[in-house]
Amino acid sequence: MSGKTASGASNSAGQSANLAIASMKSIPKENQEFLLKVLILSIIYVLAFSTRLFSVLRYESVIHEFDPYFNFRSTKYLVKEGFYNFLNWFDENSWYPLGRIVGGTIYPGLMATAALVHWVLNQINLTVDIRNVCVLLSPWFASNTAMVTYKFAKEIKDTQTGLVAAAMIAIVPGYISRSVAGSFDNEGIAIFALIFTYYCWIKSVNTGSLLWSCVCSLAYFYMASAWGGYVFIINLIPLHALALLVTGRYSHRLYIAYSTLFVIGTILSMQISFIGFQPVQSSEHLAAIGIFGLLQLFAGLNWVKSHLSAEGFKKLQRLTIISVLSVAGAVLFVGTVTGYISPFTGRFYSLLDPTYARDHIPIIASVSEHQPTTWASYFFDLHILVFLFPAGLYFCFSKLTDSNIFLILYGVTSIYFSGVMVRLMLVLAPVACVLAAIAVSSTLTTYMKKLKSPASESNNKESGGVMVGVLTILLILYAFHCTWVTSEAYSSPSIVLSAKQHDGSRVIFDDFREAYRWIGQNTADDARIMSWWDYGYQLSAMANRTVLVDNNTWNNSHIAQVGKAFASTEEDAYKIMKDLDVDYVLVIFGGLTGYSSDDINKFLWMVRIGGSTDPSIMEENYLTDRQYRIDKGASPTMLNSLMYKLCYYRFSEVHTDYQRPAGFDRVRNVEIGYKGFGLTYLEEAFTSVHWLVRVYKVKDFENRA
Amino acid sequence: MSSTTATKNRGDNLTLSSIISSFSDSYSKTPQKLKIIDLFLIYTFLTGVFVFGYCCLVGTFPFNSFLASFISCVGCFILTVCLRIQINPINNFGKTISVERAFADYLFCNLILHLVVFNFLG
Amino acid sequence: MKGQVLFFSALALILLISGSMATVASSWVNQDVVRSIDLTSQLSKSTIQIKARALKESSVYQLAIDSSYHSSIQVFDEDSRLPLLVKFDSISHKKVKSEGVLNLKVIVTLMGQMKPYPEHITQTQGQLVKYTDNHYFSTPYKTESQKTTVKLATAKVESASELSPSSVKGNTVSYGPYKNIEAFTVSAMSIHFENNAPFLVITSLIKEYEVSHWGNLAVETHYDVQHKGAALKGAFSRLDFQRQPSPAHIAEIQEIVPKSAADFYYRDSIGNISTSSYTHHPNHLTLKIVPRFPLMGGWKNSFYAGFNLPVGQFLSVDSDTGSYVLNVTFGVGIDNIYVESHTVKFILPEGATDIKVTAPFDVKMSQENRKTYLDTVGRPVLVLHLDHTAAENYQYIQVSYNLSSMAMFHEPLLLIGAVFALCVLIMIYVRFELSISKNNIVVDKKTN
Repeated sequence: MSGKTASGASNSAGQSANLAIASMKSIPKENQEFLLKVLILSIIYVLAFSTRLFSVLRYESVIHEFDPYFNFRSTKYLVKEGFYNFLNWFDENSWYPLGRIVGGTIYPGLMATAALVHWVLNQINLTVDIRNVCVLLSPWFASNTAMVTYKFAKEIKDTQTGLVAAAMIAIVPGYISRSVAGSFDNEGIAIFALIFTYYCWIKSVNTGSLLWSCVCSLAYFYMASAWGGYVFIINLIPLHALALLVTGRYSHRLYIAYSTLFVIGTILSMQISFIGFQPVQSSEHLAAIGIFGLLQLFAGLNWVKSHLSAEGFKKLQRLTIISVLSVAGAVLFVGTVTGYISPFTGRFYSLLDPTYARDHIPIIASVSEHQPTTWASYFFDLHILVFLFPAGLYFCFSKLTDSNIFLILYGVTSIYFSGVMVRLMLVLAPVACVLAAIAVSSTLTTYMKKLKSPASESNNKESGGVMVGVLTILLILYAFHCTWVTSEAYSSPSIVLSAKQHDGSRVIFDDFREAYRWIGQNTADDARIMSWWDYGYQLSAMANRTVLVDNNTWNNSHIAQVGKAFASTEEDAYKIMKDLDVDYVLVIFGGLTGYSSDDINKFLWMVRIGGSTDPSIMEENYLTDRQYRIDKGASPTMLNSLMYKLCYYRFSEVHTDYQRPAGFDRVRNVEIGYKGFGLTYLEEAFTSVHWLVRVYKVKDFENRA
Repeated sequence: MSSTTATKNRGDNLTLSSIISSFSDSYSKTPQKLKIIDLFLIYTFLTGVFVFGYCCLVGTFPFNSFLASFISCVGCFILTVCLRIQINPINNFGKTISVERAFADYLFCNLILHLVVFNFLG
Repeated sequence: MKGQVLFFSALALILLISGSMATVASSWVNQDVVRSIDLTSQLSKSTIQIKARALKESSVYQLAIDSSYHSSIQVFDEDSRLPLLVKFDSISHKKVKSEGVLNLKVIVTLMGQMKPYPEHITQTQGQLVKYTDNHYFSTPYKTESQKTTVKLATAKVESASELSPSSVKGNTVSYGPYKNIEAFTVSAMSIHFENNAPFLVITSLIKEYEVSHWGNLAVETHYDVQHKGAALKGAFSRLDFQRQPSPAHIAEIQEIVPKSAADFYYRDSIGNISTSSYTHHPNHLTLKIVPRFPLMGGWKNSFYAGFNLPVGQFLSVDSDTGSYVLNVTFGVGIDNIYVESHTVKFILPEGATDIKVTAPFDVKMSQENRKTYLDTVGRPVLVLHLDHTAAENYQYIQVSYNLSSMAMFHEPLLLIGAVFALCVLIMIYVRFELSISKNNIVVDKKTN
């Protein structure tokens, strides 16, 4: 723009500014909304990934907990040996001497996904190590879950609800607890598959398209390959179909969606060898088959109805329904009586009746993730979603559609199951987010309208302002709470412990890896290690040695033998260990450092499980006056058990605290009862620097004189 | 739902044979395309019955093969019924799903179903 | 006993072979030989001062070193203080006329000569080793006068072989002086004493230098270490160890690295190890690596550590040929160790050609390919391998290669191309019509 005078130049500047503002306003509304939507979704994507990275930044990129170590080892095997060898893998290094058929007893979805990501990245020469792929897979899938939740909520309600739901599920602690970086477990993938399957289901019920039903069955196949919780899907969807039938919402779209999903989904799920033929034989799938038959009946009758008069149809209807129901009932009766239809397995029976496991299957009851949920953990894991959940239910009821009914059923059933087991809080988190999002978004819509309305009634503007302000504050508090919970409670790798000393500096306890490394480097290649089943996966993955029992807990009597060995005297235990060909024994001892999840605290479970197959081991023998003690008042059976001896060997010579006597256990806070004993049949091979892990070598038989 | 049939048959004797004859009268009015699909449905249904009967006679030893063939029959039946529902002009699918789209979906679903069936046959 | 038999048979073999080289043997006479053997660490370091008189004009001086020993030899000319070239046993020097005198200082490091005896000890016992050698200086020439002093690690001497005049005083054993000893004379020496020095043997050392012309030289070393002293028998009690650490255990490894090193990391195959630190010194940094558990006799461990160096200090351009020359050390800066299998890998930038190595000793060379981030064809990797290395190999070696100046733009262009391709794909996708029939779209818009 040349040749303008000074005043003309300032004019043109003002003109160009106006032009800019005008051009911003002239962007059509859809494009503005699109831009805003893409921006918000990108921020949510990055947020969901980055909030799960606390432990990687504080410690290192390492696999956490116990189960993920087995998944990591399997993924390494898959990457090295190939998919076919992986499906046929028989692992001789665990459950000595039985071995374990890994290929047929796992859900391969997680390993296959990690191996696929690793392969794709390496093909484009981004040589990411398989360990880093496994550690960061769960956060990446959490970001994808947020996106799918957006689509899910958008399909049920509208875009605003979708955005709020995605934002909520990105940081909800109930989901973060099982999908933090390093937690390489089935749930990280399974929740994504779950929401994706439900999204496809809702989409196919809404559109009645065969394509969406087929995509839904493919998503169901992915879910079935990833987690045992696929049974939840195959029972919730028939329940939804039944609810639609009962409320008179039968439509052709429902028929198309359900029938296609059932047929293709069933045969797809049977491709997983762990699932096998259960979809047609077990009781957990009976509901799906039943509803399928019912829908065929409905559709058939509807079609005939369209060709007949009203009275004629009524007569035919009664006749047909009675005959079909009686045939179905007879088949069911015969099947259950002859045992062809297998009854509920113990795991799922314990879901319906929470007290079942405690009395009948102590192994299931002893797992810490299977304990019932406390009231506090609901608020801890969900925060404001706890009271926004019923509000969302109200909004669903007030405008019932096919998809709303599904959401109501999903919400109510997951509330029940999350009360049974802490682990299932994970299933509640997504639906709580969606329902809360419906509540928040509907409320905000109503009150924002009031805010924007012309000031005809002053009440409107005030009430609108208050409600919007309150909701904003609630959401801000939610964000702070979620980040705090993630940082404090759910980001510890549990393989590395740390504590703050008096002067504020951090002390790192890396004892577990120190001991596993020692075992891996300084024992014979075919050495067999006996330890409690908690540490089996970690021993296999990090020490690379044969173990007797591990976290898979598939053989209760083998675990009971190990429990019996730990609960017997040293001489009896030596016989058992020699029978099992054990070379080394490993125990975890927290008495010196104050680590409370050690083997002495788990000992009563060992006694119970050992006693479940051998009646000579009775829990009362190890207690005094129904109390579990290890001090001078402890029962003699307890003081002479192998576990006591291995944990407290030479501990009586240690002063843990200056004001206390020698041999003061810092976890139980008492002085130990039996001091100064020696070991005849074992010798101490290694103890880690803070005495957390103690490894003993089983001596050979004496040479006969 | 045709109303002419109802007015015609009001006051008739509601025996099974009269029901059947009124049904076949009404059915003969359906378009040719749908009747061809119905023939295919009957064929698939009979194949499924035959497979099940064979299994009851011979036993279930390769259970996966039996399941694969049975589910293949059931699957074809269901998918064709869905196609018929979508194409039928009485059901108002025409606005959201055109006939070509319905057929393309049908092909895709059949492809997936038969791929899995082949994998499962053993 | 077994060691002595081997010793004798090996020397006898040399006698046989060199007996045929009688003509060589008569070209020098050793006037005076002073040997001081240092046995304070796990390596035996002998410093031998030789004053030799040439019988005829020659430029080669022979040594007699047992070929079954793992030895490392360095030779210096005492007069000019310059190092001399050693090829097997022959030392090449400037011509010495007949009756001329040559002053040499020969430093011989023997690895694995001190064997633990007894081979198994308990946790609290000290480590006793047996050292076997020759009372006389093994040489193919006649020696007129020689004297040997042996300095031991401790004054606890179980037994020392005697050959008068010899004496044991504190931690020193003296042998000699001996007069007029013939060539190839062998007299077995064996000293049994306590040596608690760390017997740290690196069974496999792999050092990788990754050169990037963007300014960084990444060094990563993989160590497989083993304590090859007296093996531990019986229990390992952490309580006893914490109260009083065993005399012969290895708790830490100290490595000297260049002053400009930064970004240290120390891991093994199961994760990060947090017990390491580094301290500053005027000319270098000392990296202190503490393994996860202390190494008792017979125990082993493996880990890797690495750091970054600025490439400008080590890479230069040869003005004559225009090729790049990398000047780095072949070994690791740890004292008193020996390495059984020593491999150094140079990962050069993609597109490097004409790779050559200049080293003051012989190495086995081979080449590989490695693909890593943002590579297309992969980077050339030069692999140098040597067995049984010791201090004399810890010198600088030079690797030269040619790299075209366009090669530096390879990575940025790759990234730009990827983003460009993504944008092009999106542009094409947005403009395509992929629905089955146009009617659907029209209807959807109307119902919206």
